[in-house]
Amino acid sequence: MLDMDHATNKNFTFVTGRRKYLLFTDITGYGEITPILSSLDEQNLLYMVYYFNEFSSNHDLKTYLSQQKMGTYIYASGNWNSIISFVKTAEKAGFTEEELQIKGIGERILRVFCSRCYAINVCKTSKEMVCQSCGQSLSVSNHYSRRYDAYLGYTILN
Amino acid sequence: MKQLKEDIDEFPFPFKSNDPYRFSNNSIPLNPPISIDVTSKYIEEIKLKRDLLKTVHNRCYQSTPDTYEAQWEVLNLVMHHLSDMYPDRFKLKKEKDHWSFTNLITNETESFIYRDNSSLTLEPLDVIGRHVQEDLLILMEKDNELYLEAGQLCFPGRWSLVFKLGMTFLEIHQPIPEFNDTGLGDKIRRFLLNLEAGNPFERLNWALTIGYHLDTSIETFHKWGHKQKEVTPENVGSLVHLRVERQKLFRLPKSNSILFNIHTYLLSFEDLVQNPEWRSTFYDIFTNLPDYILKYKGAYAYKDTLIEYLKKFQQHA
Ligand code: HEM
Repeated sequence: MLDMDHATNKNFTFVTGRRKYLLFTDITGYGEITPILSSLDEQNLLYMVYYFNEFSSNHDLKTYLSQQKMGTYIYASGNWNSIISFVKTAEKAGFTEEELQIKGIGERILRVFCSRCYAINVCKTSKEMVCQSCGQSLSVSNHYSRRYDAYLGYTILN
Repeated sequence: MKQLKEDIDEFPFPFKSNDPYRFSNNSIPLNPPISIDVTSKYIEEIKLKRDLLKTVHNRCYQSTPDTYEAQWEVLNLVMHHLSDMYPDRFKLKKEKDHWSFTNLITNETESFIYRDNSSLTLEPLDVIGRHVQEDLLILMEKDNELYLEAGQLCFPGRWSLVFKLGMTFLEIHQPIPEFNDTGLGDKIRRFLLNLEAGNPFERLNWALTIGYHLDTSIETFHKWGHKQKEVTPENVGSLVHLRVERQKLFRLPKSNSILFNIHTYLLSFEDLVQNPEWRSTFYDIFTNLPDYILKYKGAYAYKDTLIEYLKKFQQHA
């Protein structure tokens, strides 16, 4: 999957020179996209704004994104769950890290696979944690498995 | 562990010239096109493999249900290669679908009906893997994508079969720096999709590791990982080993899958420096590695100690 940490900007930066801009958001994330909306208006650029829930399924979203032409740029902000599922779909539709910026609001819930005992932990931080099952300290990587819907936690030596 | 001369003779030294080493597709056609190498370490390594399969089977063996056809193809290929290449050690008798495979080294016979799952007590890949030193992995091709769907992996170089099961080729290689994001991963993926039956390839991969331990699983990292910190100028030669994986790639035509097998060799630097050519080639390459490769190869922590050790011999040469 796209590297979430890499694709996450603290604040959105405005990227010029794209053919078209797509903005995806929800009520919690709307405030994040307003500065981008103003810049787009100022420069008279082509854009569309969507709420995540306007697409009845990830399949519809994927179909829509797949139809976009080269030079389309995406901003997405909203609660972390929506963002994670959005990014997965955008990736399937062929978008890369260079073509989108995301901003998650609130706490990000991660599933972490313990490399020592295989337990899947649900946690809120993204750097280090302790496996709830075997007590091993883990460093949370961005190595992601769709099969487990989880990131690999590598053993930290103490 | 001091090694015997034959182990050193068998060691596939991975560096050919003084070209700087970077991650690349260094695959070459496999000649002769044989999937298995039986070395002087056969008995020792088969025993180690079987012990691991007994105690941590789940860690060392994984498969998804759609892989039976491919597993039978692997068993077929490997049994033929063993009996053709090493006829004094392995025998294969076939009467229609009734096969009987004899391993004269371990004194075992596997009798079964070819492609009848119920005629074996274990899965076909799990059976044949117990007779070879190689780790065996199967990638299934679906819609122009390759998925890791089955494997018997006892000697991993710091990865987990359980975690990687089901991943695509690019997902498997995600942790490697400068691999997917440079387009190298995709180039190799397309190379693999074009792999044809009858034209197998091989490549050598290398890393550094501590002690003569083939099993460097991440599942047991808490047990062996700290040894990196124990490297000193006095013990570096005996402790640090060059780990080389000879990897082979075969297209399996019936199931349209790929067999990826890995034969792992270890050589301590104390033994490696005995060969002046290996020593100076390794020295040139090692001293020119960027940090991201040193870190990925597990060598960053004791890099300077190893360089100092090699230098001593360079000067005496
Ligand atoms: C031409 C074929 C291939 C090439 C050129 C290639 C290349 C590489 C390279 C450069 C590394 C980094 C290893 C190191 O320096 O220590 C690597 C790691 C690895 N490769 Fe491949 N590879 C190939 C095929 C495969 C296949 C078919 C598999 C199937 C399972 C595979 C599984 C792995 C795994 C599990 C790792 C370790 C990744 C980790 O650290 O998590 N490779 N490969």
